Amino acid sequence: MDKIYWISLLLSQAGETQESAQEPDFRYHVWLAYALVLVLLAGFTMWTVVQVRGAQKRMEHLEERLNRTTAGKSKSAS
Amino acid sequence: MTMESLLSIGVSIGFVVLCVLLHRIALAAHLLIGFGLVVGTLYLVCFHAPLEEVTLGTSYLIFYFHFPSAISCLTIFVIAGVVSVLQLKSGSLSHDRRASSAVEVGLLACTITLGTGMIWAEAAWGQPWVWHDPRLMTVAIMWLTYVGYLMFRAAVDNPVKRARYSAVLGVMFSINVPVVWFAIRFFGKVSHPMEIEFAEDVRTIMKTTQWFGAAAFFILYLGLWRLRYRAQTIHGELERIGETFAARKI
Repeated sequence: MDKIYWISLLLSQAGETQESAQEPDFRYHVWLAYALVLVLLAGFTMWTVVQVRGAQKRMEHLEERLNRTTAGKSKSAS
Repeated sequence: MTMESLLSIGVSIGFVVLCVLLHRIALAAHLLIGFGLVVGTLYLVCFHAPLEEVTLGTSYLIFYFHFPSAISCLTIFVIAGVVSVLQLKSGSLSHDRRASSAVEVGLLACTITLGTGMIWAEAAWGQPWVWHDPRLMTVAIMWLTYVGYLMFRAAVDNPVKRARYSAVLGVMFSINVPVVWFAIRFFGKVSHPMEIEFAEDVRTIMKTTQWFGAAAFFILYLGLWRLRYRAQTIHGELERIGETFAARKI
């Protein structure tokens, strides 16, 4: 007997294969679980990357402001 | 000692060395490798592992994404506990950032474990949650405690106090990890199985896919841990600059 791989079963129409006719159809659950994992992983990564970029920009801006203020104060003191 | 156990020890040591080496490469490359390996797991599940499990039907395929996150989340919470001990010893703020970023990534893995577990339970048991199952309840308690950990951190402004109290919480909460691991042995099996038994002829293929997935997800979570640590370091720098502004009345 040929081995069955899940990809062929998941991509087939309901009731198309003998296996899916005999067993309950869990394709919806498998797709949902895999999509949930990938969305959470990608979402978490993107969220952190955006957060890091924003914080880096803000830090550069603040450092520049701090340097300008320090330079201005030392000029007025001299 | 059998050949199989020797091989397992060798592979485990090799994996630890690989994880240490991965910490030396660029973060972007680490994340790309992690995501690539997760896609590789999906490929193995699609085209390598045959459909032989008959008791649970195709729903058992969720296991290949459920198990890796579960094992990673427990490992990462243990790491957070160890780093918290180091923080208590040294008082270092970088250890605090390491511990809290590990908790954040561990919580992500725990959420994935609970989410995929509930979808699988809906398929296999006909209901997403069983209130008296020891494994499910201990994991839910673990999830809630670490959510509390992050809420606590968000509520405390003083970085030194936040680091010390968080470290105490990190050590306390990591004690729950062995309870989760041995929950079925301690309290008995209700619904959640100890492990899935595969048929003898496909056992090797399925175990290989299972442990490849576990390694792939763990490497990705390590990359995410590094990413969160970077985010927290920059956030710490921002706090420091803010204090300088306040001190100079700018």
